[in-house]
Amino acid sequence: MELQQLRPTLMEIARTTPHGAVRRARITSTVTKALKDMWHDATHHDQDNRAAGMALVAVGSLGRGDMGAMSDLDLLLVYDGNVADPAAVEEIANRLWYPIWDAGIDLDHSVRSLNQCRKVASHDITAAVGMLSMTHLCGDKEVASRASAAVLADWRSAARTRLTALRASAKVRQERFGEVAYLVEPDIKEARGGLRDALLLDALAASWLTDRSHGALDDAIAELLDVRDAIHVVTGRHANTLLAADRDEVAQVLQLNDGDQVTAHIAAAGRRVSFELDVTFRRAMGVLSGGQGISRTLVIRGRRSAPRLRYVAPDVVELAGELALAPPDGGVHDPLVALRIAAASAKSGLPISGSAVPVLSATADPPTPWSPEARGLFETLLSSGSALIDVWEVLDVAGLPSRWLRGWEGVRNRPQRAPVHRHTVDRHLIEVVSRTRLWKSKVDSPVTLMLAALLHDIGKQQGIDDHSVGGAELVPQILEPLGYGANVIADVRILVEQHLILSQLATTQDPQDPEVIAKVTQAVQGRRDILEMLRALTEADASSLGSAAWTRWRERLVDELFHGALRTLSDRPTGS
Amino acid sequence: MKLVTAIIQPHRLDAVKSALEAAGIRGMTVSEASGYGRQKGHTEVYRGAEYTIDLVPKIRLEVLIDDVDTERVTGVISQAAHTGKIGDGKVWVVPVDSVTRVRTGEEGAAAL
Repeated sequence: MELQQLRPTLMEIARTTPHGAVRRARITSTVTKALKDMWHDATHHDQDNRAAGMALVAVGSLGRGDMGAMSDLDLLLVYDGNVADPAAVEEIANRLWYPIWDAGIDLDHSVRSLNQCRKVASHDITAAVGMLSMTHLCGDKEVASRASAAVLADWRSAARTRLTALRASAKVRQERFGEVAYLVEPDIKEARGGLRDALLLDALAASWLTDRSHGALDDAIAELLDVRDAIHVVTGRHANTLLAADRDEVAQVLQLNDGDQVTAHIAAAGRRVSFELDVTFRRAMGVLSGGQGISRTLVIRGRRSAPRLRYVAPDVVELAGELALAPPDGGVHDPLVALRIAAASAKSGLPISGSAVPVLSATADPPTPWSPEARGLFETLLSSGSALIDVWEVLDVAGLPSRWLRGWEGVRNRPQRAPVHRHTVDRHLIEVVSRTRLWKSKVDSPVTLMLAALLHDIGKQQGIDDHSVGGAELVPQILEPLGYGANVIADVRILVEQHLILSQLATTQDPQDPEVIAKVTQAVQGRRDILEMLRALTEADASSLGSAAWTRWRERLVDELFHGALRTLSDRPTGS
Repeated sequence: MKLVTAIIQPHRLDAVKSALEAAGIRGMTVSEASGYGRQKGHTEVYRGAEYTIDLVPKIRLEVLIDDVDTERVTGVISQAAHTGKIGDGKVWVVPVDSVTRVRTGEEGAAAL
């Protein structure tokens, strides 16, 4: 095949091969064949075997066999400095790279001796991770194999020092690109939970410190690759960011209903990759620290004894800096164990062990209506501030919030309509709950405020036009099974239905106008305690969207209206 | 050419925008602003604590116009922003030496 025809051929494969793994395998084999032909052209006149001691190897997506139609080519010409002639290396490199450039194909290329491969991998962590997937394409197989083995051996022997750097690089990337699961226009490759993090999981497994999960994780990575492939088809470019404008077209390519479904798929996959990365990093760090702490196997008088576990709650133990589930009495965990470990994690700051997740998924739900103990644990979790966010992510991976809260599935991974939002609906709800902690001592019923925060956008579901009114209608069916009383449910209903009124009226109508103030006092049914919770909910909601959404300017307007309403209600009794 | 700047109450923005659009004004710049005029700030008491609200939220609206439209545009803004209460704001006009439309390079009245 003419190299000029390579991109159109790959695009045709991408358009006509619906199954992701098959598509990527076909693309990879087509590119490999083209490169082999090119190598043949570059070396077949070589009477003196000047290509001896050289090999063309693939790294990056081609090396891993998951290339997309518009992915660039990551190629490395590796040579044995004791065998290959430097002039011949340069000559063959030119014969390889120029035709690729001339064909307009993006090429990331390098020429390195075996020693240089090791040197680059030892000081450039991104290059090292890339080189872990070296795959021989053409030329001297032994040279390619020696390069790959040397880089892998170095990676394993230096894992202790490199793991920290690897984790730091992931954190820097997250700060720069955000989280793939929640962004309106996510970078599928670079954002946290994206394809770059999937590579880190492979790199961690290659260190032999720990294995990584398979099954659901592999499915999640395949989903992200499918989205990337679809972006390539729609844009015709080597792009990794899903722009809002392309979302519906990408949905068509992926044979999904609409752009919202694409976003939901990305969110679910991104959450899984993020979760697995955290778990795998912790496991690897634990191995490096020699199982530090209480889980370490003790050797007493030459005999090994079982690790000492510290019980932090019934059935919940601390193990190597994580919370795990102890074997239950009678072989079955009680239905409160998930709430118990979640509350303990939120309170202690210790993460929930990855091994606990499948067990939590399989435990029975608390009997309805929930007992006061179950509600107490739930409220401990909700009132834990920013610690709630990570714990909730683990619960989500175990599928528990959708089982506990009727209607939660409708907002799970659901994209927002307003561009001011930066998270999916479910994540936004949790962010707002975490912010109500600041108001714990400032309102009469912190529990009511937390529940209202948890459900204020629950009405953002398919088929509901006014999410405030529709959400308020869903409140009883969610809170009654949790055992909350009629008064709490009624108050949460008011707050959910009216959660936008302060900010809407303050910015569009005269906050000093008695008629406008009356609208607010009527909305809170003449109750000062509800008004104060509404003010808290307004700030928690808006501030979770970022500094642009909750400015001092907006706060002053809201406060003017709030104080006006407060003055009107000042002589009235509080509470219901 | 003139630059008309108006400081108005936030809740009058929609009315002013509609009035300017009806008057044929095609572009404007709107920003959040804070300040006070003769009304100064005021004090609120909440849960026993006293809060001084010295900078009042306002909207700053800027419109570039041709000289001949000056009186008409300031009139439209004043009328639409008017509530008769303290804090309704101000409108002022300053001369503009030159205007360039960045996309096309047009200058002067053609760039408005």
